[in-house]
Amino acid sequence: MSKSTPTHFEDQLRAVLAVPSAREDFVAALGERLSRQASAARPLPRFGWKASPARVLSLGVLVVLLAALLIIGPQRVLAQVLDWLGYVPGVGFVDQEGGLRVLEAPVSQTREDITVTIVDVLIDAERTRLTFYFEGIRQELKPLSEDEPGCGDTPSLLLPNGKVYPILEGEGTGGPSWMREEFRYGPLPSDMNEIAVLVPCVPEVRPGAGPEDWVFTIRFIPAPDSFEVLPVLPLPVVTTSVEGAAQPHGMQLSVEELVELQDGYLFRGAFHWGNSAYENPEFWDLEFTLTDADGNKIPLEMSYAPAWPPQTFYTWTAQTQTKQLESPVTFTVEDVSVRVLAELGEENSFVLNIGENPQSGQVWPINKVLNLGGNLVTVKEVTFEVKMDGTYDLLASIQRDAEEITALNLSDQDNHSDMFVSSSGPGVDPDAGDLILGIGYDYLPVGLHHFWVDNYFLRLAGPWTATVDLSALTSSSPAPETAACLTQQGWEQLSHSLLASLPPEAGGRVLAQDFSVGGMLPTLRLSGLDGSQPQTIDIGSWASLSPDGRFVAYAHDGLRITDLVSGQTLVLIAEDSSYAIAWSPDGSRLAFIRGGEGLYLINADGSDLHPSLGASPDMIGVAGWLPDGNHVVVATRSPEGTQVQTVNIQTGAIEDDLVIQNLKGGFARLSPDGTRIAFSEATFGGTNYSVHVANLDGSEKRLIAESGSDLTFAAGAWSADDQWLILNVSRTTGPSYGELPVLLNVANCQAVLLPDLTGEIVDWAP
Amino acid sequence: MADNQADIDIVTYSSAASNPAEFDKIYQTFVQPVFRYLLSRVQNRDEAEELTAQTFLAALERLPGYRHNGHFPAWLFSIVRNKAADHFRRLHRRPEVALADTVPAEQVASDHRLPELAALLDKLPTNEQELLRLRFVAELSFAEIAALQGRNLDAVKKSTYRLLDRLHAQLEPDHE
Repeated sequence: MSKSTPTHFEDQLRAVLAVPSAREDFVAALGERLSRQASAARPLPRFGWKASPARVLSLGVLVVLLAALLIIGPQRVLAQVLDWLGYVPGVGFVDQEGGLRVLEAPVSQTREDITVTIVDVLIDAERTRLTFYFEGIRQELKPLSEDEPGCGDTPSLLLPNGKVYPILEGEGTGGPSWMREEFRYGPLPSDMNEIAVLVPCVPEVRPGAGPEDWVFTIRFIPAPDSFEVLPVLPLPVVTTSVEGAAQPHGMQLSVEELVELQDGYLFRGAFHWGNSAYENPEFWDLEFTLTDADGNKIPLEMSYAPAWPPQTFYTWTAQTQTKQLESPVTFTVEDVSVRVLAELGEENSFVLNIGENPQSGQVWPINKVLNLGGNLVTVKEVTFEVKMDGTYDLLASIQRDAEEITALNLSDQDNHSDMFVSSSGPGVDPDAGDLILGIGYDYLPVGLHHFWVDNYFLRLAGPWTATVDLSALTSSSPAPETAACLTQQGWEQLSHSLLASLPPEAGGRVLAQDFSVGGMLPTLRLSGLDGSQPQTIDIGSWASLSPDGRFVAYAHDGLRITDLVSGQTLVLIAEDSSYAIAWSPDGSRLAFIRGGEGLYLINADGSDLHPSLGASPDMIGVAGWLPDGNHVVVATRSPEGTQVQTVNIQTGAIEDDLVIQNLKGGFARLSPDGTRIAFSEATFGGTNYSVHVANLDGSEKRLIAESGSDLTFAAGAWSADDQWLILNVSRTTGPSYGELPVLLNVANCQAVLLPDLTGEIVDWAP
Repeated sequence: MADNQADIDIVTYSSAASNPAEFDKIYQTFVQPVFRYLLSRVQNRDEAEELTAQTFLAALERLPGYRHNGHFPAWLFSIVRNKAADHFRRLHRRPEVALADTVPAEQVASDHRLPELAALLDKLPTNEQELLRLRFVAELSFAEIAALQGRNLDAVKKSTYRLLDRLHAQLEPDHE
């Protein structure tokens, strides 16, 4: 408290901020429960290692068995030793001490047309995992706006003694009418095989709008012998680096456990910084690569467990999708980006007297070198700016003498602004390499100001490596997916080479949605593939060409059809909820998705608007019509991903086709003959969606265009003869559909750039 | 809270995860500050109790990995704040509840300035409300707040003093 503020003010503050204390019975009950938990607790294993005599004995046996393994050859003897730690595909690592328990049978209840099912339970020595499935959630029960909350209370477990077990963590996914959630609780006592589950409300439903306070009784049984638990194999920790130093910057990479999956490996390890100069670094850009003995880079899917201070390591897992790896394999982290907090000192601060009347554009030279943990930067000058909104900025130009500094944060101790202010970094000037940092003020700053760098980002060079010998474990697995027809590198080569001629069969007209003009909706344009006979139609989205190429259906303040010959536009539906529009093969009607309701049909003259038989609100896309005109292929959100379905619009019968791993509907395009589908799905270890083609039943699936780190491909339109696909190309940063599309032959991978087309190509008529 | 912490030494922290008596010392010391902080955030007793339970269960589980560095309350309150953040995320709700919702009538009777002070507190930015909450509701020391927020100790002290001066000046303009 400053000397000028009376001490009783703090008392006033405490009085205003006072909140009641916890109830005595609550404190006692929780204390009792924690006491029981502490009594039952054991030291947490470091990745599953437990230092009990039984474990030490097991370790000794393991060493012997490892030796035997190397001499005798690959055998599954290791699996017998660490039988207390296992891996359950789709769940993760489990502690099997005391045995695993599962749900005796799924339990369901239906109230007011909403069904809640406890689908799955898995109990191990560390956790109780419950999976819930909610279905029948109707749109009218959901919040009307984003500001209105839906059900936020989570299920809890009610023990026979009346105590409530709250959740520790959980996650979920859902579609328009369903939610699937998994929640994890503490471990249940081994003698407790029946509990009640309290479900206060249904996710996404407004409080009071739907059925609440569900109570289930569930029972557990020992996991059957058929329950798949994969053995976890410990690995010798081997860490090396190119320069021979095991721990660049005092940090270390280790790989400590391995799980052999059906089609790949799961590695688990850690990245340690306990011996580094950094007490509590925040790691950014911790990127792993895995290479085999042949130098092949192996695609990985990574996950990380956060470090809870003062823990000084991250736990990571890395999964491959193949076991065809030439041993040994090496994990490498080339460099890391670390955020370091700095305490105020002479070496990282400077003082500036702004004077009593600073003027916009006024510059003060500083020329002070700051030392940030041995890394030098120079504060060159500070500039004062008056902003349009009446606030003020002080901009510091900072030269990075040490390249390791990638960003830093500047604070002004004397900034009394009420608004949230921060220095904006990194603000790199690409020419000068300087950082331009701004500090905002909501009042005119004057007089003496003390600035200091309170945190900065360092790029620390490694590499850190860890090598694993898999020679005793490698077994057969399906070969990885064959290479794509087109990659980012391939597209870049195309765009820098002489342009190839369009194949003779690439005629007809294409429909493009051009966002470059600006505005909420793109401009719809028609042209030849060579850009000839361009025709601007209207603004709109979800555009689709009629089979004869004469009409365009699109969404623009409703659903419209424009006659390209007469120029007349017919508004079929005036309200704005139609998307994913597709013409029937005979051009007489349209199929489309109505938001929140699913598949709808309407005649081209606007008559007979109705939901399709078999429609469900979880249908979120239309891939196309089958040639018979009686079936529409749709994309439906499901717990497994996007389920492609063929809907018989005459009978409502639905046939499930392939499942696309894409939560946004897969951007599916059905070939004109109705036999194949092009769609977007992430490749293993990739970050962007890539284009695949498969038969409707999912067979003969091929990766045809693999998106790169900053270039994304998406299927645009099929040719009438089903041989060619137009792929839209965009940068992951920057304007969408800003790059030249490609014409790709699906059978022989011939690729031709389409330099005369702009925008997103959405349809193609002969 | 500083006085009670003196009873909890390094031995307690390291053995508490499997020693009920040791963990109970920790629990009894921190349960009220944790509960009051959470109640101040969520403004609902049932929710605050549930979050308090979740906090200590999580703390018990993670305690074996804790390496004592003199800032145990900062470690504990990092869990508390994460639980509160998870709670608001589940509710799809921004955690902007009133810092001082209503002042009890008996307090107003003794000091008529309190409602005015409560109104001033409600207008503070979130980060300043949090500073007051940590200092005067959770009763963390400046060092603990600095460790929790990853800030310099002097900076935390100065931020707090400046804020109190400002509030006091706004409350007592005649005395500036």
